[in-house]
Amino acid sequence: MAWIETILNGLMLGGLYALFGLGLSLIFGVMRIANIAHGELVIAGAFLAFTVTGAVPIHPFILLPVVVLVMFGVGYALQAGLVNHVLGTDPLRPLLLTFGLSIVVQNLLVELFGADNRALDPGPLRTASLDLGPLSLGVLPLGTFLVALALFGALHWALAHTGWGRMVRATSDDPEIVALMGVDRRRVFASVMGLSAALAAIAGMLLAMRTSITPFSGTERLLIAFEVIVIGGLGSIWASLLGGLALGVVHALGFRLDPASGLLYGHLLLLVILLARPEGLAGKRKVR
Amino acid sequence: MSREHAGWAGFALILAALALVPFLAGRGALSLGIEILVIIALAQAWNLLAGYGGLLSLGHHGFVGLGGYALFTVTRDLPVSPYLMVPLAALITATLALALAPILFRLRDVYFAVGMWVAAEIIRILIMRWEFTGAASGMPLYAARGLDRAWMGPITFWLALAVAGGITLTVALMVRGTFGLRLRALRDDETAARSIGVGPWRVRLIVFLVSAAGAGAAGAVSFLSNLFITPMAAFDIGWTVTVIFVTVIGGIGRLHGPVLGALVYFALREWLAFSAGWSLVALGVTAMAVMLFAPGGLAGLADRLLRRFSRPETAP
Repeated sequence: MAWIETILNGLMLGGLYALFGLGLSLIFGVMRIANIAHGELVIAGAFLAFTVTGAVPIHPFILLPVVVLVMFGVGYALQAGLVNHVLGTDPLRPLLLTFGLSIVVQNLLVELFGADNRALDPGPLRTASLDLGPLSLGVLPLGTFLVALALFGALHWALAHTGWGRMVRATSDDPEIVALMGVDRRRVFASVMGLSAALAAIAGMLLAMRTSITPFSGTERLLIAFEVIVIGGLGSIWASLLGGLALGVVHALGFRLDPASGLLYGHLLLLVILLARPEGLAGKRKVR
Repeated sequence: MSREHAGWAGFALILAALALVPFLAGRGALSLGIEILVIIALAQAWNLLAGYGGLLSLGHHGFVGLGGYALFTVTRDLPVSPYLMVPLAALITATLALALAPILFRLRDVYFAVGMWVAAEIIRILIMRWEFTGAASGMPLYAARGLDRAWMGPITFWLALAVAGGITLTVALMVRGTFGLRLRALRDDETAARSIGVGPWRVRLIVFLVSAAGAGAAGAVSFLSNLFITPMAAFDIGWTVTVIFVTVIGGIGRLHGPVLGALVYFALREWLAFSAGWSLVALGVTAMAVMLFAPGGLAGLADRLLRRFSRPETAP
């Protein structure tokens, strides 16, 4: 039973990991660029919530929509003001630009808030658990997992059934042709970056309710987000969910078998996937 | 004298002048000098792979740590001079890089960058868990007992100079001639390069191994001057962050880039010494501005200025 509990906890942790990866894979899928500042967007969302809850006693859940809106704006402005200007044939330019941004954000957070550990207090939810016969599951991890699932579902629906989604998919397939049809791809890119930042911020708030974070926590989350999309593969957003769940289960089992291992077994899983199935668990095989 | 000859003569003169530094500088200035040379060497190694080879690595701190640990473990257990161990540490690092190549070379672009990062993380965790390397608490340089203290600073400085000069020379020679042409052809358009018969993997593997060796030598010299090594310091991602900044600001894919960038980096760091955080913010903003307005960095700007002044001669 204890093993089943470990696996279930791993799956729930994996839901959060998948959410880290979702925003990154969206950007990569649509613009073919890697956003190195993605981890800092996750952490910035949490720090935005710290700032408000520090000033007014308000439950983090009520704050969530506000943080999401603000971070959407931040992401939109980031793309429109900076990243759109370095898109082109050289993939190193956007990568190095967001690399610079990640160090700027990280150190601004340190200078403004200090390097102490901080967490969001979700109230009695933090310790509440659900007893299902012999199994006991934390309400907060379960809630996090369900939120992640709901966001994947909502994004799938939006991409498949809305005008915006059609535009995003078309831009991802061929930005040149889309531009001929009168779509301003820069605005499409900006909306996608906004959405990615909003998803990152939700993930950051959920993370800060589970565990305490510092301004430096973004680096590790970026690595996890990358591992999620490499393990899952590119091609659909559901690949990221699968990648996140696989990584979560491996981390949970790793901690149980070998508590001092840190993220070692997740890294090894990545290597195994790269050797055995480079296109990822659910990725489409590239035709060369 | 042609421009090329002038370049070689200038390079030799600068090296000769720098070799005199230990006779003139105090202890503090000498260790700052070693630090600058280590960063130049590491940035040249990173720039060879990323700027000329098109393979951006987020995991060069893995090679720095491997080079450092190679020096510390071998000189503890075998009667080898730590000074002689610097080139051997480069060789050991390149050999381990060769073992990683079959996995990493399945990856391109962002995937390669992340693969390198993950590889460095795995090496760090393994070293942290290994009693042989002193686990998480690291180890001192045991072999330092057999060394003459008075000469350690100067000799380490000369080694750092040799490593920085050596890797700069290696990169300069590699990017000239047919090898350099193949390398740039692959970076700019792989399909076109393949179609005219350039074998991508051999060229990239050579560049990868040279880059790993350079980073390993830089790590060996750096921790030789520290006299102590820990996994946290040796495998700090800060190494990679610093050399990316240095190379980007100085000029990625240009030979002078890492040198110019290192000078800017250390000037900014000393100037904003009151706060590590603000100096990193300043570096980040500078790097972003370079990517937005001058992707060639300072070396690119300098080239443009020189061309403007010498236009009458070079105009067709």
